[in-house]
Amino acid sequence: MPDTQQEATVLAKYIGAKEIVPGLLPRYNEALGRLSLQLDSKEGLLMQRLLRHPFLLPLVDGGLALVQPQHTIRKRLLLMSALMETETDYAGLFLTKDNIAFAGIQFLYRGGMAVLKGLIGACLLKCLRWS
Amino acid sequence: MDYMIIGSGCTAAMAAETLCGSGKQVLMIDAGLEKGIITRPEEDFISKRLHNQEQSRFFLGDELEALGEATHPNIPQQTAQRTFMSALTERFLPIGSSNFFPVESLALGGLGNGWGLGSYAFSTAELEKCKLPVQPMKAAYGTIAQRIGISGEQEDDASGYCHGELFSTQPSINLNPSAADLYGRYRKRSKGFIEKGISMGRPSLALLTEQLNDREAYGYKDLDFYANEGNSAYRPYITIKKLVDKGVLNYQSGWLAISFSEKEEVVTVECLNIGTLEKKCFHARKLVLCAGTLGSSRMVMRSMQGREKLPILCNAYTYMPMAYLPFLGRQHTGQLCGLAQLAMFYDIHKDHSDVAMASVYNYRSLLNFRILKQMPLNHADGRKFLQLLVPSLFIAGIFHPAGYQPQNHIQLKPSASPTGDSLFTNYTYTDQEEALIKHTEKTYAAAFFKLRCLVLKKMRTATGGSIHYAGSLPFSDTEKPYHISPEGKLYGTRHVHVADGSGFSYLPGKGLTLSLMAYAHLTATKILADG
Ligand SMILES: Cc1cc2nc3c(=O)[nH]c(=O)nc-3n(C[C@H](O)[C@H](O)[C@H](O)COP(=O)(O)OP(=O)(O)OC[C@H]3O[C@@H](n4cnc5c(N)ncnc54)[C@H](O)[C@@H]3O)c2cc1C
Repeated sequence: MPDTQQEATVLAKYIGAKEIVPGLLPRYNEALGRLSLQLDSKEGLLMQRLLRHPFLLPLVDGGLALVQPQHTIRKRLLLMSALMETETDYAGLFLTKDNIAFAGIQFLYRGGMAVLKGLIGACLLKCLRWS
Repeated sequence: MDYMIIGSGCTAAMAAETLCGSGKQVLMIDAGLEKGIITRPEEDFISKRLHNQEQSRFFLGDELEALGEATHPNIPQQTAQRTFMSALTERFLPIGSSNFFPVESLALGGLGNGWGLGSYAFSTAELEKCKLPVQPMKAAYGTIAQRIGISGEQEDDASGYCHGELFSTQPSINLNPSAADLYGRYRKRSKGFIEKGISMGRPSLALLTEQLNDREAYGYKDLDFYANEGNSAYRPYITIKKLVDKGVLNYQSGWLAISFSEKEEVVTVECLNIGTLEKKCFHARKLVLCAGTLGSSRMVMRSMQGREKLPILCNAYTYMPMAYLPFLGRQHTGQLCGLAQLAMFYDIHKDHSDVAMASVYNYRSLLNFRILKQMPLNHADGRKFLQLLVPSLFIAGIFHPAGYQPQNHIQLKPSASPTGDSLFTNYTYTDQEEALIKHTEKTYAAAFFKLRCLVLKKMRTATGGSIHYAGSLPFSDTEKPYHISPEGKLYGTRHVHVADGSGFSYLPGKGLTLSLMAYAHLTATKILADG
């Protein structure tokens, strides 16, 4: 199994997939080639770490969003997100199908948590020289 | 040939329709890149998202164009179906600049393939500042509105800024639920806003809500950036195809016009084939340049062999994403429309002379990944955040008026491009302009806040991002090089006319395309009257 299959599975689950639909992994693989999203050695090392410890993903992803938004790992995550968004099985993860209760509070909470994770991630990236 | 038109965009289409109506022979030379336009989408946006297994190719493109770098940085909303609109421009229309990044087109229909359909007549004061003939322009607006079909409100707070009763409109499109709510909130408080020079209403759109000839009424499939349902949106290819089918227009695509020369009563245009780079000349009695302001200016500069700097006008453009708090996390699955819902006008002097307009859009069919790309949040939380935000999201796009400034110019310089040159440009704002832009942004942010919209960010696009360009060959009553006469004739030539925005000597802060089309029709009328 090529590395990217494990990567695709981890990234899809991180974004919100419960099950991986059959077509997603090959499409991700093909898209990586088409968009030339190759990782250099440093980026590759960071990706390996994230695949070993997926709990780091929200921190590193959020940190990169703040300090290096054009990082290839961010681009790979965006690709996975776009592929999932345009997949019938995952469309519901992106559409707002029902009225969400206490939306204002959730909005502040979600936004706040995401910023916090980003700040922690940015410190991690800086202190451990991961980016 | 009697007349030769360069280009096939909004201005070329209107000039062609007028000239072809005379029974004379009309030749259109165009780079003419094409892509099949979907006019019968089978399903609406939501059905596609929930049931169509092939949707990824539709939304992201066969080559993942929507994700690649293929799209122009100043049109981040470009979909795969529309990348042809700005294709090949880097190669054939190269720009050298560190601060001006115009969007140009070499497509059949030009930038009109992607225009947002906002159709606004200039006020008397604005027409005067542009040096456009006031009464003839007012009459021409009516002609164009009849041809292209415009929907909008005949009488609301904004109609004076949209069309000033110069033309009648079809009924407005139905408002999306959040826009209807926002508009209701404005109407309750409209008096206070109007006192401050701010008016809100329905925009005039070149979008049919009733059948017009063989074009159908809009059907609310919410696929506005991907398809043209029943040709309900006016796009110039509609006119060009109609004239070609009637046999009154000779349309030659694949040719990039390089320069023109005149000998006795014949104008010769030298062209380059964009596929083979073969050269060929076309001849006619009169030439009408409609290659877009920058395109026509390139041709004029090459033909006059000048290396002068020409002036240029471009509206500054501010995007303001906003959360409309009452709609946070509300259900968002019905039939919507992705085009401008509301138009807000800030008339600083309350005399229609210096208006800055904001078009207000909902966001849905362009998908969340485009926002995720720009948001400084991780993807997992970002996705959930957007589920809450998107139903309440409005994007206001503000156009700021633009006048001439001496530092802003375009200049043709030799380069290794297929045409042998590149357009060097400079565009910056003076301190005074900068201050006015900031004041306008603040005024809008405060107005929207009063309507319970929380402005999330104010983003000024890179210069050129408004995609409104004009003024490189200003109108002049007296003969001067690189100027055009009030009738649209290029001084220093006998039979070369410019029918696009090159002559406009001011750019009001609202959509200019309806005025471009009206002016193109006027110029063509004068050419016919000349014989
Ligand atoms: C996303 C988007 C949204 C917009 N929204 C609005 C809006 O809501 N309201 C509004 O008023 N305006 C809007 N605009 C702007 C509007 O599209 C333009 O003002 C208008 O289309 C310009 O028309 P034109 O005929 O002057 O030039 P263009 O559309 O640029 O057409 C130029 C034509 O000339 C051809 N051409 C160029 N050079 C050569 C050459 N050397 N030889 C042969 N052919 C050549 C091209 O193939 C093309 O057909 C928008 C634009 C975009 C891209």
